[in-house]
Amino acid sequence: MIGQPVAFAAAQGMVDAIWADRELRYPPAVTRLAPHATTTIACANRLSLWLPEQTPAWCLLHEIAHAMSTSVEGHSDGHGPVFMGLYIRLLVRYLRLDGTTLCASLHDAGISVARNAQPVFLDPDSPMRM
Amino acid sequence: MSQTAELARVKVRIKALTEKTVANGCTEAEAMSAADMVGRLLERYALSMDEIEVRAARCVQAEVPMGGQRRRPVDACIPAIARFCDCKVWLARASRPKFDDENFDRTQPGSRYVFFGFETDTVLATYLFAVIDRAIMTESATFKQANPSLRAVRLRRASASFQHGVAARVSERLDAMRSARDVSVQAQRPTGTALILTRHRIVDEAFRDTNVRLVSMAAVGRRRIASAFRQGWQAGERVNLNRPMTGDTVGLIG
Repeated sequence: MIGQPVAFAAAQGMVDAIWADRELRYPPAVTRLAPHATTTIACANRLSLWLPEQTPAWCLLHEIAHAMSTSVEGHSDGHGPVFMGLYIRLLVRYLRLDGTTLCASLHDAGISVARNAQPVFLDPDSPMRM
Repeated sequence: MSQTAELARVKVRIKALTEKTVANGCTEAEAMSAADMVGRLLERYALSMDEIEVRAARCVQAEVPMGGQRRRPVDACIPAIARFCDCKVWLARASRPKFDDENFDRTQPGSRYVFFGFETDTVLATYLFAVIDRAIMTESATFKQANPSLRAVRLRRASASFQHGVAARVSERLDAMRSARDVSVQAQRPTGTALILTRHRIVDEAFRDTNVRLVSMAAVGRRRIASAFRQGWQAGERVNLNRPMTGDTVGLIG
């Protein structure tokens, strides 16, 4: 289902569903990407995802991983280990990609991954959710 | 999964943002930006200002000059702006000199709209008014250019109808945005519309202390030339009422 490009109108529902599935609260809001944006496909922070009319599924998950790895104060992991850990988990769960292959590929490219990464805004004593 | 710490930090941040006011030395742009972020955080985290302990926050009045003796089409947006910003609003008429009154103080302010509410809300209201006023001017100029055959009285009427159309559409959009926001908050909060009710109650209580007594007034203008009104309605769709995209988030490439 999520392998198809996601229409803007459907994106908020998708984000809410994934957020709820991860047992998270306060999902970010989906906002339309500025029409004059040419180099940016999409972007995100803890509060908002800016998306175009059609977003590839992998890109939506990428932005959700950004939302999960950014604090409300704006501190972001960028494309660091926490982001990568979250992103991989989303790709495996919702796009059914092979986690082992993804991790091996990242290892070969020298990209570090926090395998047990949790959304950065969760309380430290929150139970780990795989 | 618990996000208690995040919620606590959000409350602290909102409280800090509510201190960023013009009265506290911030520029209007900084106050506006802070107000925008407060609104966003309240909505995303389904919080009420009551929970942020801003119950003691002062309600203030912000004035918008009417720009002449007669009400303009943009004035039709005033009630919708006030509803959107959870403010009360009224028109304070300037006193007129009697023909033989030589001591009349001509430096006193002219007629003006007064928004009453939390400072962040009143700042947002005056900002929205300025944005809509500017948009109506710009769209009217475009409309006139696109209709060179209109002249004299016909042009004035068509232009007025066009502006009424813009104002009517913008008002409708503001009301729709307000409804959507309220529904969103209601859906997220187990206590339903507590946020909205609390804000209204605080403003109502503060308003009672002002001793201002309001009377209703007639609506602004009416549609005269249907085609111009329709074009104005379409132009009203283009007025950018979205919150501006700010900060370093723009640089985050997906």
